[in-house]
Amino acid sequence: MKVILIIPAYNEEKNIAKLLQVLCLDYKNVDVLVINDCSTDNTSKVCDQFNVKVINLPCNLGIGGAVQTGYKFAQMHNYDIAIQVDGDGQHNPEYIKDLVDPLVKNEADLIIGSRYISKIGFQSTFLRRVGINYFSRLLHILTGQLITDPTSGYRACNKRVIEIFARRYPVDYPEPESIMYLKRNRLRIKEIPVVMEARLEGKSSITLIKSAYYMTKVSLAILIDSLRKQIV
Amino acid sequence: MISLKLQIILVVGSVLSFLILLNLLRRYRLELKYSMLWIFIMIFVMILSLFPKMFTHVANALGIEMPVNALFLLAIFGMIVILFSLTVEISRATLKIKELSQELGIMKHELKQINDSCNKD
Repeated sequence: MKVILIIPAYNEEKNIAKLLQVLCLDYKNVDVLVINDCSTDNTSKVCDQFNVKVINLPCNLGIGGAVQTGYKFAQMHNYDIAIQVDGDGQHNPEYIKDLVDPLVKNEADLIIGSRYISKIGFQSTFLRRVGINYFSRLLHILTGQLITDPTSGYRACNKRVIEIFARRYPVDYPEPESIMYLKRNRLRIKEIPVVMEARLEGKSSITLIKSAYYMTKVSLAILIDSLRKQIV
Repeated sequence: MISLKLQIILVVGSVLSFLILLNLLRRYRLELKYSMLWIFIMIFVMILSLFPKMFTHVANALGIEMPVNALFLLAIFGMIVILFSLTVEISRATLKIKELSQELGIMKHELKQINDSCNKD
C-alpha cells in the first residue's frame, strides 16, 4: 500500500519542523508531501532540512487549492491512501494509524478525525464551536449523516476519493463543502475520535470579521452543491 | 425627443470611445473576444444618437414617459450585462490560474527529483 501524507502549509516555519521531526522518525513507510502555498517566511527552507517532498506553489491558492495539489500529486503517483494533516501543529500524528485503519478494512472512503466524539483536548473557542455545530446540523439535514466535526482538516481517504478530489475540490474553507460533495457522490464517510492541540504559533486564517462571510459563503456552497447532479 | 446638446455629447462620446477601443485592439492591448460587447453597445448608442426619434419609440415600447429616462435605463442595463460577463470571465480565469499553479508546482518538484537523481549517478 502506497500511503502519502499531505501537509498544506502557509507561513508555518515555527510549527512545521516539530511535525516533520515526528513524521520522519516514526513514519518511515509513509511519504510526506508538504505543499508550501507561497509562504512569505522560511517554510520552504525549514522543510528542505528534512527528507520530505516539498511542492512550492508559484502563487497563493488558499487551503483548498493547496490541498488539491497534494491530491493531484497522489493521483499522478498512484497512491492508495492520502492523509491530510494541517501544518500548524494542531493535529497529533499519533492518530494516523486510527485514520488509515478503516480505509484498509474498506469500511469507508473518507475518515475524519473528530475532536467532538471523545470531547477531550483543544475544543476551540465558544463562537467557533457554535459555527461548527451549525455546519454539522446543516449537513445532517442535507445528507442524513451526523458529522460531529465537519471543519476538521485531519482526514484520510482512499484511491476513489483521491481521484475525485484531484479533479474537483472546493476553494476556500473546503472541509464542510467537501463532505456534502462526497455524500452527494454516494461515498462513505466515517468519523473517529482524535485529540487536537491548541495551535502553537501564528494565527488562524479565519478572523471574527471574516467568519460571518465564511459562514454565509460555506452555507451557500453546501446548499448549491446539494442541488448539483454532476458527478464530479 | 432628447435635446440637441445631449445628442452631440452622445455622438462625440460614442465615436471617441469607439476610436479608442479600435486603437487598443490594433495595438494588441485588448482581446477582441472581450471587446465585442463594447463594440456592439457603442454602435447601438451611435445609431440611437444619430436618429434621436428612435428614443421616443424605445421609450414608448418600454412604457417610459421621458425618452431621456429610456436612455438611462438602457445605459444601466448595458453596464450590468458587461459587469456580469466580466464576473463570468474572472471566475474562469481564476480556475485556470489555480490549475496552472498546481501543475507548475508539481512539475517543479518532479524536475528537482529528476535533477537530484541525475546528480547522484
